[in-house]
Amino acid sequence: MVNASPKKGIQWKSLRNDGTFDKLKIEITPNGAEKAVYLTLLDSINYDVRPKVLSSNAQNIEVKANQAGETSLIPKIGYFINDTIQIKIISKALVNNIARIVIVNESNDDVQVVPYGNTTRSDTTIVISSGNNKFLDSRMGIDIGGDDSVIYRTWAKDSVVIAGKNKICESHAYQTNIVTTSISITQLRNTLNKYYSQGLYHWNIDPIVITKTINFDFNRDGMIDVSSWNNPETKAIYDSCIIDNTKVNFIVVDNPNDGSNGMSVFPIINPNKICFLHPNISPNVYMTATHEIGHGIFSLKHPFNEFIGFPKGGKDIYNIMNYGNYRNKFRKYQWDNIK
Amino acid sequence: MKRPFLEKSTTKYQQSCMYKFVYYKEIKSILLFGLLMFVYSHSFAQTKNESYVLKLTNFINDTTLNYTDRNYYSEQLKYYEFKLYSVESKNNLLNNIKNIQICQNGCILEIGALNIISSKKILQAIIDSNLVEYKDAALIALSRMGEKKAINMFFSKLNKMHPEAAFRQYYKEIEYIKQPECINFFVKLLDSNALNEMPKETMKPTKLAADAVRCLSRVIFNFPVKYFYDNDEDYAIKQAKKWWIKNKNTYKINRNVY
Repeated sequence: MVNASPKKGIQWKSLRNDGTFDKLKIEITPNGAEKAVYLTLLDSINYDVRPKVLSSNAQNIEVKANQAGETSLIPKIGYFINDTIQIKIISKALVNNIARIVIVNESNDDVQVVPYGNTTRSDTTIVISSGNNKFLDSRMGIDIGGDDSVIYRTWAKDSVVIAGKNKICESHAYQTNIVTTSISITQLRNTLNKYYSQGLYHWNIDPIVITKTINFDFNRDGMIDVSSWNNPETKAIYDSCIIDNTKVNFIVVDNPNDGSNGMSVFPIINPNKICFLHPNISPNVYMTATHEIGHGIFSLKHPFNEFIGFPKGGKDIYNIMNYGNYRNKFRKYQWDNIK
Repeated sequence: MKRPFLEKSTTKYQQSCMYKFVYYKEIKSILLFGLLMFVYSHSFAQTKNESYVLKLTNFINDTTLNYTDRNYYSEQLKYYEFKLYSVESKNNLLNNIKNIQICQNGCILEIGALNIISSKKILQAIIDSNLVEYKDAALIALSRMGEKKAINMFFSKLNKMHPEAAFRQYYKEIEYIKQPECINFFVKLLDSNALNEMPKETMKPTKLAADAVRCLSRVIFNFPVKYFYDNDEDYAIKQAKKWWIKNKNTYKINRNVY
C-alpha cells in the first residue's frame, strides 16, 4: 500500500496509435466562450484534432495519433494557454486477447442399488454405490438416513452405503447434478470491451463454451470451496478444465462457499489465467468478470487496498476495481497496467 | 464504392466473380483477424504441429496484418513446444527481429528460449540501440542464452531492489532466463516471511516463499514439490529447502520449456 492517491483533476483520453480518429466530447463554459477557443496539441506532428475551432459549447471533436506516446490537447484563447484545463492524451497499440468460458456442473451420480424401504439379505448389503465418478455423492443425514452407514472398499477404492443392522434401505441415492447458471458470450464480450477499450485492450471470446460435469464437491456441502486458491475442490476444476492456457479461462460455477461474486488472484499465483465467476450470486456477472480479470490478468488492486484513506466501496466510486453499483471507469494509472 | 477495374466487356459471371473478389478485399481487414482467430482457436490449439507454428511465424511477419494482430500471434509463440519450430520458422523469427518495423517482443523472447545462436549479434545491437521498446526483451533473451554480460546487467538491476519487490515485479523474466543465478535468487526467497496480498478479503494470504517453490518446480528437473494446496505451503517450503541442501550442486535446469 502506498501513501498516495491518484492525482485529481487530470483528464485522460486514450487513443489507438494507428491514425484512426476517435471521438471526444468536450464542454466549454461559460456559454459563448467557445467562440474564442482554438484547440491545439502539444505535439501537432504526430497527433491531430478536428475541428480546431468549435461551433458550440458542447460538441464532439475527433483526435488521432500516428505513434505511441503522450501529448496534451490544449484549449488556446488567443495567446493564452490555460494549462489547468488541458486534456492529456495517451496513444498506444490496441492489444488483443482471447478468453473462454468453462461452465462447471457438479456431478452427482450415485446409484440406488436397493430401492428405498426394501429389506436386504444382510446388514452389509450395498444399498447405494458411487456411480461413474467413483465418489459417493450422497450426504450423511440428508440422503443417507436411519442406521445405514458408509464403508470404504479398499479393493474397489470407493465408498458405498450399506443397509445397517435393521437390514432396510433407508437412503436415497443423490443423483441430481448441480447445474451452473449459464452466461452469455455476447454480453461478456461487450462488457469487457466496453470497459477495457479505455485501456486500449480488446477481448475476443471463444465461441465454444465448454461445459464440464465433474465431481468437485468433496465435502458434500453443495458448494465450491473458494476460501483459498489452491484446495482440493479448485484443483479438481483446474485438472479437468485447464486444457488451454493460451487463453484466459472464466470458470463459471455456482454456489461459492463464501457468498462472493467471483474470485481471481494476481498472476504470480495464477499462471493458468483463471477467473472464477458465480452467476447465481453475482447481481451483474459481466461486471464481476471485468473486475476479476483486472486482478487475475493485469494485477490491478482494489483502490482501498492500494491507497491509504480509501474506504471500501467509497471515494472513487466509479473505479471498476472498487465495489459498488456505479463502477464504469478504469483510471489512467490502471491503463498503464492493462497491456 | 468505386470499382474501377470492372469493365463493361466482362461477362455477368466474370463480373460476379470480380464483385466477390472486391467484396472480399473490402471486408478483408474486418474478417481476416476473426478468421485467423477462428483458425487458431479451432485448429492450432488442438493440432499443434510444425506447419501451424510455421504459419504463426508467417503471420508475425505479414505486413498486411496490423500491429495488434501480429502482436497477438507473437505472444502465442511461447505456448508451442520447441520441437515444433522448423528451420524455416526459426528463420521467420530471425527475419522479424532484423526488421525493426515489424519486430515483436514475443519473437525476441522465443528466439532466446530456442537458443538461436545466430541472433546474438542482433540482440546485442538492439540492447546497444535506442529502441527502448525492445531493449528489455533483448536483454533477457540474451540472458536466457547464457550471455554473462547480459545476466550481470539484469541481476545488477534486480539487486538494487528489495528481493521481494524484485520477485513480484520480475518473477516471469527470472523464470524465463533459467540460469543458475535465477535458481539462487529463488532459493534465497525460501526464507522470506513476506505474505502475498489477496484480492479477496476472505482468503488467507499465501506466502511469497511458496511462490518461489512453484517457480523452482517449473525450472528444475525432477523438483520434488510440484503442486500443493495453500494449506500445505509450509510443508512444501520445508521440503524445498531440504531438497536444496542435498541437491544444490547436482540439480539440472529444465531449458526444454519456454
